[in-house]
Amino acid sequence: MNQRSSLNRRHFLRIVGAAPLALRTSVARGLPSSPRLAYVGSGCGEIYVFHIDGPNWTLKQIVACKAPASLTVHPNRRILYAVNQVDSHQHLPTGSVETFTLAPDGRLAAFSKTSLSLSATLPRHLALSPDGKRAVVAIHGGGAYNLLALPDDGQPARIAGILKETGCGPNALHQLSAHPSMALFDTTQRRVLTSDTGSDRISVFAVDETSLTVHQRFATDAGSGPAHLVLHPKGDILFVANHLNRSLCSYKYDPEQGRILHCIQRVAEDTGGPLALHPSGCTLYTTGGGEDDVIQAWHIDRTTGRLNRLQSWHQHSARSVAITAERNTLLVVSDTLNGVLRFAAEPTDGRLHTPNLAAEVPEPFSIAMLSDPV
Amino acid sequence: MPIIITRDDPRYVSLQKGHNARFPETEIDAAKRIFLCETSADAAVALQQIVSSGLRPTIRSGGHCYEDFVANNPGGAILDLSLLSGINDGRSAPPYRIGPGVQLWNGYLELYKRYGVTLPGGTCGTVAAGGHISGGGYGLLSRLHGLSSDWLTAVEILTVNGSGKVVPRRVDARHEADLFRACRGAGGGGLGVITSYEFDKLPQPPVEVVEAYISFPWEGMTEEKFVSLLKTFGEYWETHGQDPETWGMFAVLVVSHQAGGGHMGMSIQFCNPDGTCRDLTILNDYLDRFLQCGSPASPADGTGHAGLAARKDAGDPLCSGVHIVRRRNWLDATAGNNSSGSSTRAKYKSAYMKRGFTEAEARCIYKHMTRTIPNVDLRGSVIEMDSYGGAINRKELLETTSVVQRASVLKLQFMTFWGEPQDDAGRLQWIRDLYKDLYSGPDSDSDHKETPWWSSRHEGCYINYPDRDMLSYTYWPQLYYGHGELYPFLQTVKRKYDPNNIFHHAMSIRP
Ligand SMILES: Cc1cc2nc3c(=O)[nH]c(=O)nc-3n(C[C@H](O)[C@H](O)[C@H](O)COP(=O)(O)OP(=O)(O)OC[C@H]3O[C@@H](n4cnc5c(N)ncnc54)[C@H](O)[C@@H]3O)c2cc1C
Repeated sequence: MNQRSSLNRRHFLRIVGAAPLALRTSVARGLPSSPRLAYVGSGCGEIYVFHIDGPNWTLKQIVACKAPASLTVHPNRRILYAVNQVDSHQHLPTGSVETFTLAPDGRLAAFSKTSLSLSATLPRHLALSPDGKRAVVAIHGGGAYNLLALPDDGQPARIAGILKETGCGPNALHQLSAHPSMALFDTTQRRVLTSDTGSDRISVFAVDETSLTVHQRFATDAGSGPAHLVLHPKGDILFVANHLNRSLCSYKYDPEQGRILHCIQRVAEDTGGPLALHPSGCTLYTTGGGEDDVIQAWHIDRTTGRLNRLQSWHQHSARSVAITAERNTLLVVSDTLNGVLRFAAEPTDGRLHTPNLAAEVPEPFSIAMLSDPV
Repeated sequence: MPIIITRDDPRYVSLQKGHNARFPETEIDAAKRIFLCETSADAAVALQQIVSSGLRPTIRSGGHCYEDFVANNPGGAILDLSLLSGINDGRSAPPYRIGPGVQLWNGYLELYKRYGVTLPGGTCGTVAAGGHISGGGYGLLSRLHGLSSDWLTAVEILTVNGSGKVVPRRVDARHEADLFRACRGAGGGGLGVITSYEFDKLPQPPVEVVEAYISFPWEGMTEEKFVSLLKTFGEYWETHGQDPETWGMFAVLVVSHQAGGGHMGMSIQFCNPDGTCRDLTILNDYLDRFLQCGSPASPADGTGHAGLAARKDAGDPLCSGVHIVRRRNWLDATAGNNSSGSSTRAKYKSAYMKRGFTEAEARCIYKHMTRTIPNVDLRGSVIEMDSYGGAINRKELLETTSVVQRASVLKLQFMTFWGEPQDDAGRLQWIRDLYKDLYSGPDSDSDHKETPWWSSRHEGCYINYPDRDMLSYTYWPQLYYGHGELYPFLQTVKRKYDPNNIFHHAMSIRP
């Protein structure tokens, strides 16, 4: 099936047509492609595997996977981890992490399934340490984190540590208890930054072989609901998208000490959804908003850490659920479009060009890319 | 301050496990540390420390949990309340205040000596109040006086609020009545840490009891005789057993696997409703019904039911019709019945019965109690069939407690005990096959096969005899809590008082 440039798809046309302000820059230009494969998790219980050739995506495989909320490719490029956002596994109240092996052509084969700790329901995100030896899973429903040891002898992942969270916030609908949303290794690999939407807290955890321990707690604005995180490639600015008050904050982070120092800037314009950084470190991509979903590109001032908006793109009545950036592409998974929007990006500064609907996937909610080795 | 036992402490090896030697399943599953608390203040400090450090607490009082709810806690902490074992702690009674660590026999002894009252609780002397009362708790006097949780009037409990702070509460029918109701029989370990049980009133125990024992040897036992025995037993409790005049009589028919050789047996403890043994008509009538299936009653050799075994050398032998029974004062009888059994590997299942046995059920039980499985030793496999009902079945208790099984006349407990991990598979296979087969017969509900689903004959299972196998049925909570308002109610209580689901195990109330 060729998913090439589905701009003629009726629904998408309607959205584009209804967004006259659309992209503020840009002339669409053909850019050389670098991503090779895309894995898109679908709420229908599947992972879609696409081969990518520039704007052309070809569906290669669909594999069963219960509820792949987060997909991560191991640095060895031989394994894909899928976090199953389920509330029951093997009749117990917990979620699971599923491992797939990657064939040389990128096809997946189910390898193992690791049950998370008891009551680790609705896990949402998995962060892999850059050395690929450990992973931290943020467990949204069950309010906890699991540390997974990832043996390099091909054995399935196993739980090496559990951190049970507590906490709440003023939003009676979403903040009655802790709801970890995301985890992110810092540049030292010794620490993990996390966001907790339920308790208005970002935290720094120390990670060792067998445990996660709290190193720092940092309170965000009451009712903000921090959810999505990205760390600047230099490791010193943390961007946090707040899901509940649809805002964005950037924080100064000291990787040596493992401390979030202070808030640099608050942006309350149509943000709060998934984030991505252009590998150049010059541009931050944000999503979010109220009724409409707004995809925005921001220039990052390296000296002050402040953001200046470069571009914005409105999608009416839409919602972006995942986003990932490569040197010359930004991919936005949209659950209202039931597909993946592909923006070509300027390799130097990450500016975006007109998007196309690169792939159709029913109820998509996660994405991972496998690029050609550099 | 709590005493903290870590892996390098010589006490750790003994204290990281409970009564069922199957748990913790592996070294990785074991708790990292054990907090031994001597006071409720200790418990609050320990709980706060555990929660603040992101560990999972599991709660232990007597350690007699059938499943892995306490001992399997990978990297977590066991909050042990066994040292909170005081009754009233110098305060006047009533109300009677029982610490969660009070072991049943010690509790009976102390309540009796100090106040002349008792708790209608279980027969195992080393089961503790902590898990027992919160899960219902029944025993030899329950037909006469109800469940131990039926008598509860207040509970002191530590919960953890949304922000992770430990909150001590005293709950009763007027204050936080929802939480109080959940503490009356929904099972422990899933809402908070109970540090004290309070009873405004407790019943007086009988002055004396008569004990009887009938043996049913396997030798010469045919399927027809077996069926007749089970039907005689069940029919009595289904019919005569409903008469309040019989409520002072408790019987347990212990059907042991044929592999054990020897005999099956029935132990009976009897008193009149006024707590005397002046009139033995009811007892004699009952015993006579078994003359065609066994021998007349005679004192047992003590090898019968772990909890109720009249011994040859105890009490005054007494001829009661053709039967020889023993009259004993209640305390001596209770002392003789409080054995706990040793700590072995074990698997248990349960079922409530609203009627006696059907022929198909009796035949199915016979089949499995005489079954052989190559290379599986089935000695130590039994079904205990307890008489039930009486005062337990007062319907007004449905709304104020969390025990919904209020129409049963028998309660079955399926058990198998063994020593070595390599025998796990065979033992588990036997008990699972028996249970599934028994509840897939002609009278079973087609949508709930393999389980004693609520029907005109069955009333689900007992949460104090938890069975993880039941988790494979999506309707497992209804087996334990019924299909009415109770389970949704308990879920509301759970979300309100334990919003972070700090207290959880495989079968705790799902938020
Ligand atoms: C040999 C034997 C005989 C038995 N006989 C009977 C009987 O005659 N009648 C009967 O009804 N039952 C009987 N039982 C079952 C018994 O009632 C349950 O196993 C009971 O839950 C054990 O309580 P525990 O405190 O000893 O066990 P534990 O293992 O300490 O606890 C059992 C459960 O209760 C929770 N819990 C314990 N303490 C507290 C607390 N303070 N606050 C909150 N939760 C707590 C635990 O977390 C666990 O989930 C018997 C069990 C055994 C092993």
